[in-house]
Amino acid sequence: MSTRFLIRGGYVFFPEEEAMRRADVEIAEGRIARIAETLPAEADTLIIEAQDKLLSPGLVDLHVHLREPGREDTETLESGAWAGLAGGFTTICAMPNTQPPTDTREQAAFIRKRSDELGLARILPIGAATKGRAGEEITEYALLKEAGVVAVSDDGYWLYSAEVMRHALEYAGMLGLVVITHAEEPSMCEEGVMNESAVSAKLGFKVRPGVAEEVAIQRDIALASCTGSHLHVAHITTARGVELVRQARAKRIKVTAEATPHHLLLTDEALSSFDANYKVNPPLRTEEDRKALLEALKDGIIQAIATDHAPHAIEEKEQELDLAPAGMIGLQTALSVLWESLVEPGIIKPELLLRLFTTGPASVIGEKVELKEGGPANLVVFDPAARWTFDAESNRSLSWNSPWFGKKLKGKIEHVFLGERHFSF
Amino acid sequence: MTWTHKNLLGLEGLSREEITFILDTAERFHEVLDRPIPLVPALRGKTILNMFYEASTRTSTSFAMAAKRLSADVVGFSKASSSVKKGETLLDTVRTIESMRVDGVVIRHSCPGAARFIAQRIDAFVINAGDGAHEHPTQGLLDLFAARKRLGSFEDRHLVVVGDITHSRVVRSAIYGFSTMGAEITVCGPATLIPPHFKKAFPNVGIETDFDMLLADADMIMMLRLQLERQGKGLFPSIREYRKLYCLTAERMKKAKPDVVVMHPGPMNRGIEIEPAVADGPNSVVLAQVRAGVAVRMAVLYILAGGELEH
Repeated sequence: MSTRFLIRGGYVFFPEEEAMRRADVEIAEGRIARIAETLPAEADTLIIEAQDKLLSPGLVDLHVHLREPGREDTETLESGAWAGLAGGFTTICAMPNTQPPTDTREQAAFIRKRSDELGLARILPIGAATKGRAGEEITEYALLKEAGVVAVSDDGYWLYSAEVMRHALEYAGMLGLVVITHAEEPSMCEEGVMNESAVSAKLGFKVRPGVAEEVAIQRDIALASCTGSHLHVAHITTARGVELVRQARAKRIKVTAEATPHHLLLTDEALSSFDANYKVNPPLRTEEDRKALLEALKDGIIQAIATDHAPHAIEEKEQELDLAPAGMIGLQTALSVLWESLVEPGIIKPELLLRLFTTGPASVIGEKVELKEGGPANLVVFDPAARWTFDAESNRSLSWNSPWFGKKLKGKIEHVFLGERHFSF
Repeated sequence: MTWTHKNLLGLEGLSREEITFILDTAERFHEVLDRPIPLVPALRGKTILNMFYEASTRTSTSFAMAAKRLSADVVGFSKASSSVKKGETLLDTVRTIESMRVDGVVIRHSCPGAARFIAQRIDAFVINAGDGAHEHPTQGLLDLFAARKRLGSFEDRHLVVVGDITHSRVVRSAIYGFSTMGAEITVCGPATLIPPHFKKAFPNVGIETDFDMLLADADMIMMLRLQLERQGKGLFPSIREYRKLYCLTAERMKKAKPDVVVMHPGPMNRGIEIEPAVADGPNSVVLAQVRAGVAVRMAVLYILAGGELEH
């Protein structure tokens, strides 16, 4: 019934060994049938030549904003799942800040059901940590988990009450759920547009200082330590924030962290252009912070790269920076821009980048990533040399708020194998 | 000299020659203001749109007067009287004014970059009349104009700017303008009102929290208006304490050079950042600044409109 594929001559990333080597991979009936140095082409086999290309398990994104329900004009579960696939992501975790938010079993079940119907990138809901994301009462974590939630978070907001955060950690810990924190102390960030730095001092923008992240991480680590529960720091951005996570992990406190492609590649200097596409929360930081993030990737202090894919309508973004909403989309460009800017110049090894996109994030939510004979087909083919333009034609998201929009990029996902389905881009 | 800029969005990046050219042009218009009929036909037939998204009396009046003295037609709106209140975006407002075909736009807005946002999207020239805490270039120019009248030149002159440095567009334009013209600059205010990375942003600008330390060496003292609502944000504890630390009093003037030039962009909080005796005293150029404002704005409008100066 389904086609048999032979992907020939590519470099295969084996996640368990964290190694890459040349191999042929045969896919049949939704599973990886065979892996060997060379495989003969059987009859009725579709051959995909993958010399100088890369095979990896499908990527995992811990942090995306799909705007359904509420703002389907900017992204739906379907368009977001397509954007994910086109970027090589076969698993994406949807943050709960929709309208209404994912704070009930029914909302979470809706996302899982829709994800199953679509059969595109698998969408895993993240439940709101508090009812209505209001920071006051914790949601029904057990029921949410039953409905398929993989973590809880009030992303967008820091849980201001230390008492509520403590209970969130205690209760989530009991159920084996991770609590994801958006670590920015809000009283220090009111109306802030960008990082507090020499650039903001020149441009006169209101700020969201790096110390607000430190303050928030410091407190949350204290609470993770006292509860013994798993804390995950979303989109970490500062050198000192990374240092706090490093110290906590050395003390065996269960803390993990993710970084976004934009914080790994861009700095607050970009705001000198007054382009609202560079307005993100937390804001782009300094070069020193950016370098600290890169070091933390290498040291294993940061376990995952997450896009924080945040679609916004053009009419919202094309405004004065004070008024424009924060965030940029990233699903379709993440692997390309990081490969070109970090792997090609030798700043980080390809195996590390792929770990940060696969086993790293999966382990945060207690999932496994495999690439082995007999396992389900969940595989992408990436051509690091392919050139393409991220534009209206190639874009799969309903929004295009990205500094890479309109730019020529290098490195492209060409095929995604997910169960019995095959997508080529 | 040949003027090459379409807009005036800030003093950052302008050369000494360009600033001098504006100031020299302003000198000629300054004389015009003394005439029985202070009017020149330089911008006859041109239309200038004043867009004031923030309350402003003196700057909007000054721009309107400057345009009228040049015989331009002036139309304008302020936030309270426009459709901005009805929720029209800046982009739509821009498209609207573009279709009305004005020659120049003067914009005051609370967001840094707002003037640039407009300038990137329309053919008319744009003058930034203050964008948030970013720049206020014509203020910087009028400060230079008024100070130059007293001091002649700026080489080896020391400007001290006192007050809320963080939230001031006046200080940023002053830094670009005065440093380009050769002056040394020190900013002064409470630690809560100076951005933490100011030194890195402006390596050649001195930072001092003790006003009294700076008095003896200053050739120019620019007092900034204290926004009283900052107290509610915890940025300073009380007016009483602010006054003690940073008010330019007659007592402090005794420690300053006898010919120090005292400036204030206005409107003044008399008795808070500046004592009335000082504001109205012989060192003060506050009213000269207002007059300079009209001349400088005439010069800028004239240069950007590409007018030819007769006589």
